[in-house]
Amino acid sequence: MSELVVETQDLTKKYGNFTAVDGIDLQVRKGEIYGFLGPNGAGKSTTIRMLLGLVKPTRGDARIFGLSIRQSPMEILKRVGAIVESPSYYGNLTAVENLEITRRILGADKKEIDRVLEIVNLSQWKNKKVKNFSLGMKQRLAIAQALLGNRELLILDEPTNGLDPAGIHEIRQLIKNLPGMLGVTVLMSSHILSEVELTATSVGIISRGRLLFQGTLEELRRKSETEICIEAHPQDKALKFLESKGLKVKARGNRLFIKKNSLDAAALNRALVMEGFDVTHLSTERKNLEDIFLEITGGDAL
Amino acid sequence: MRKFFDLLWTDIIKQKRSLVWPAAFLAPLITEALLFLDFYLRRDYILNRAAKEGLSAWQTLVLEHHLTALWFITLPMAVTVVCALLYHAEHASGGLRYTLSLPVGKGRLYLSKWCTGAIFLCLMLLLDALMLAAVGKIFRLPGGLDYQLLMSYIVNQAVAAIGILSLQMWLSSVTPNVILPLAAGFIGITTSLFLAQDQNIARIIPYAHVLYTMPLPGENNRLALEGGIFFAAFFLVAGLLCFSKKDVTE
Repeated sequence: MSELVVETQDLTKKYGNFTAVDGIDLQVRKGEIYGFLGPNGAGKSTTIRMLLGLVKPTRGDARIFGLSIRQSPMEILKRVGAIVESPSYYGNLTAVENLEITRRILGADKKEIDRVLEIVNLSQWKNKKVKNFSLGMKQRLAIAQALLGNRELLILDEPTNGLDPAGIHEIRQLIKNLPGMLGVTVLMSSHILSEVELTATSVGIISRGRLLFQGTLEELRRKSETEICIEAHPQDKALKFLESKGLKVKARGNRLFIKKNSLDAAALNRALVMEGFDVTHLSTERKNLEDIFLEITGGDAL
Repeated sequence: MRKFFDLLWTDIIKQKRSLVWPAAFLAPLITEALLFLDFYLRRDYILNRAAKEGLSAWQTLVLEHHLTALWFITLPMAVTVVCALLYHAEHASGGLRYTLSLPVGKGRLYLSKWCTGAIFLCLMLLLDALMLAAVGKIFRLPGGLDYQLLMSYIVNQAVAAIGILSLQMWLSSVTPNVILPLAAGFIGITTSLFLAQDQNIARIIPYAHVLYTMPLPGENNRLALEGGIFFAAFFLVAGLLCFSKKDVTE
């Protein structure tokens, strides 16, 4: 098992009676891109703020690089680059001046500025005021800020938020390349399922402050069970007939659904026809990730 | 210590091409323009009247600058605006959450912001004093430039205004809404104009202390100095504690 870079234990944040984050146990391994997925208001940003020490947990602790954020925040933050919610920048300053602020605080080498500008492909606009940048360029500058000083963990909160499709593609490619190129671990939050599916290697699903799933994308897909979908008339009698055969049947609309397991669809069709039912539709269906997500979150749409 | 100075340097660099510079320097410029106009129109009258009251020409210049040219209002207002703008730049850019996600403690960041405000205050007072001396020279005030008088005036103002700075820094740090600290400051300044007439009341209102900073005979400078030091320390500690405990949610 590879080394855990981020590990939270019973991490909880309450605002009065409202529980924003409810005892979550995140585990992010070294070198992976961890997609932290959840609907808006699920508690992703609050969790990220707790990981960065911006918000104090009500209960529990977060350990990053094996150190507690409560006890050693400065040691941790030296090694963590972050974008929280939206890119932070001073519009009155140029890209270089913005990066110089980060460099000074971190005490990094001057060469770092050119290095990170090169990585995010902003070198030719480095002396342009940031207020004149497009949103995509601002997002790239924020990633450059997060990378400056050879950080080992990047925490990116909704890094593609508000971007056009070309911008999303560009940032996605950049994030995907980071672990291979720089050896960093990435924790990326998103409310877009396809985004996480295309970028992440592991995923954590949060809804209403609770972590409902955590594992690899493959493990998530494995949660998907194939069902046989039947449209047979009369439906109520067909349902009773199938149940009498010991099958667990669910009726949704005018269709019946049976977990496939080792069931033979052709044999099932034959049995229904032989019994005198009119079978107008029979198919096998596999849930996509969105269906699985909805099932896990109890219907909380993204 | 070097880390703190690096942080302070970044706080000053953040103000490059920002509105803080015109906000800080417009106040002395306008005041000195008013003072210039005042002396241009009625120099002899002012000096004759002051001489009858036993004031020297340079003391009269300070008196006219402070009261007639409204510096006792303009200075607290400029401090209020500078403090609000320093934090507004952070709130508007997401700078607080970004800086605090770097290895920077909340207390250190608050102190750095406070020092930045104090630097702007000192620059403002220095510029004002230089222009005040220039106005005196332009109108050929009798006697040489009274350095001691000017120095006392600068120090008194700095101490009195630092109390306002501490209060306004605290108010500006607690809310992302820039209107609130500005409104609190302006209401405080205008009401203090009336309340400052009574020294017992003026003692407990930081905005009123600037009125008592003229180093002239009969002026209660102690009120300004003691009040300035007390409120500067009190609101600095209160602001530090408040900011250190604050969750960064905006």
